[in-house]
Amino acid sequence: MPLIMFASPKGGVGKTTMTANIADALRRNGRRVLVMDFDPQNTLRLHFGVPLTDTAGFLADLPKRPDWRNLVRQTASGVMLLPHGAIDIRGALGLSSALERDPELLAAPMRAMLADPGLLVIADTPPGPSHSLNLLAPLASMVVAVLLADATSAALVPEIENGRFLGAGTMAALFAGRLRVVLNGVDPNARLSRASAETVARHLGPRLLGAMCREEVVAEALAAQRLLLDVAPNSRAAEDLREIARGIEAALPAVPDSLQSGWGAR
Amino acid sequence: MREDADVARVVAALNAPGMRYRSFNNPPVRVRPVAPPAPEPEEPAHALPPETAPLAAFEFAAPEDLTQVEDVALNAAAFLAAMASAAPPEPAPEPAMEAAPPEPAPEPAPEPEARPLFTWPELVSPAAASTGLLDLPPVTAAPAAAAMPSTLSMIRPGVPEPAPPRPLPPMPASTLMPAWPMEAAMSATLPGADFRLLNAISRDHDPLPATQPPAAGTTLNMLRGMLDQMPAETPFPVFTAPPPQAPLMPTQGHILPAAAVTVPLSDVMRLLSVGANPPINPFDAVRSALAAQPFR
Repeated sequence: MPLIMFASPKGGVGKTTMTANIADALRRNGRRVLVMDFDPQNTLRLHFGVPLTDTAGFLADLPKRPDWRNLVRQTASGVMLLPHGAIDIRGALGLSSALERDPELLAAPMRAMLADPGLLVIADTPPGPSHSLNLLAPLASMVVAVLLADATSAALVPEIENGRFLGAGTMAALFAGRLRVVLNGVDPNARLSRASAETVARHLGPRLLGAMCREEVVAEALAAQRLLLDVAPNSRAAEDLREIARGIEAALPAVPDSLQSGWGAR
Repeated sequence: MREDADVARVVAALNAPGMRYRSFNNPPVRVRPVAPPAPEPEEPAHALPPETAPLAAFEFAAPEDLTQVEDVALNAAAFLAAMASAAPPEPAPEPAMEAAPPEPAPEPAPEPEARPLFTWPELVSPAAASTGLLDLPPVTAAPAAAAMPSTLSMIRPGVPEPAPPRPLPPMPASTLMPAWPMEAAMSATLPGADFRLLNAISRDHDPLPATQPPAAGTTLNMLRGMLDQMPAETPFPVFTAPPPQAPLMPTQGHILPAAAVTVPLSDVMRLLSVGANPPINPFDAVRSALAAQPFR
């Protein structure tokens, strides 16, 4: 039922990695989770063991109005995955113009997904402005902005605070109220990382949902096409991940057990 | 495919059992004439002092000779015969001064297609390949490439392969919502999104409950612990001051006039157009925090 959206004004901050592992953590908490990839890089699938050569997906075929239910994958982790699909420049331009002409192309299937009361939908959006971001932000129960613990991310805090990176205008400021921030790649032994993290944490206060330390096992998990809680459940990064998942859980409505046995449940 | 053929040749040479030196079919840089066996020295080596005998018996050899280890005895006659039958080395290019006028270079003979070391399964249908358009059919089962070994299984053989994703069975119709007409969508309350236009306008700016207290030992807890130990500071001005709202003005026609018209002005352009004091640099906050960090 709720939609959690991972976004960032900047690329390369580990947003997709965070999305995949948070989806896995929430699944382990008993949620029925559907994770969607809105990023044309189409890399979210790799965290769940989908082969590189498997390039089918939902967004890439959206102008053809595919049935999203036929494209959902049941992964080994129990998380249901809706990949973006491979897309070239012509397809990306076609998708952009199609969403510009008819936003219902995406809004209608999103409403169908969110109508399932026991389903938690998690969306991974591309960095920066996008049609997906504009369409999903009004539907999202929570927007999680992922930032690196570096100077650039700290300098972007004003952009995040006033919601400008979610779009322009008054509505963006309203969406900003549902915004939470996660710091990624915090290295306590690096002065700049520590200083940047302190700057962001001091300013955001309780809006800082969590911080994830920089640890090699996170990248190793992706190298194995597996998830962090599966590869290194006792690592510090795994504990940080669980804490972020608990913060998200605290903001979600409780779901009765009867709703956890529906479609896609394991 | 020249590179692939070379790689395949080197790999095959390296995998040859018992062979520790191969020329990889390259022409030798220098072929030494094989001299007849030298007569036995009249004075045996052991007649020399023991400390000088190995040095005196040492014969300087070309690098290729040094690679001939004792367990690989090369037959000199066979080696010369093989060299004679091998293709002669390419002649050295003539000096540029004597070169004839440039002629169109003849097309090199096509190399035989070497067998690739690894092939990716082809997913593009012949029809799609002919049209140049990527028209992938929906994949409903794990493709053949699922057998490709993962990185972790190569470096840690004991780790089991993750099960490939499988497509879901069709969703029961009872749990599906039909496509909503636009009127119904505008009038109905979205159960999942909890969003309507009027609700959003009257919504509290911070509707989410506060996050739970962080668990001990996590990075967030460490961050907040460090903040608690630091003296209370006034927030950095860049995070408290509202963004400058200077009126947009023309840029005298010589500083990115198109950008001034079509996109919101950045702080720098606002400074140029209005002539106000430079805005506070957000990086100053990081620099200030960095200066307070102890060296470890």
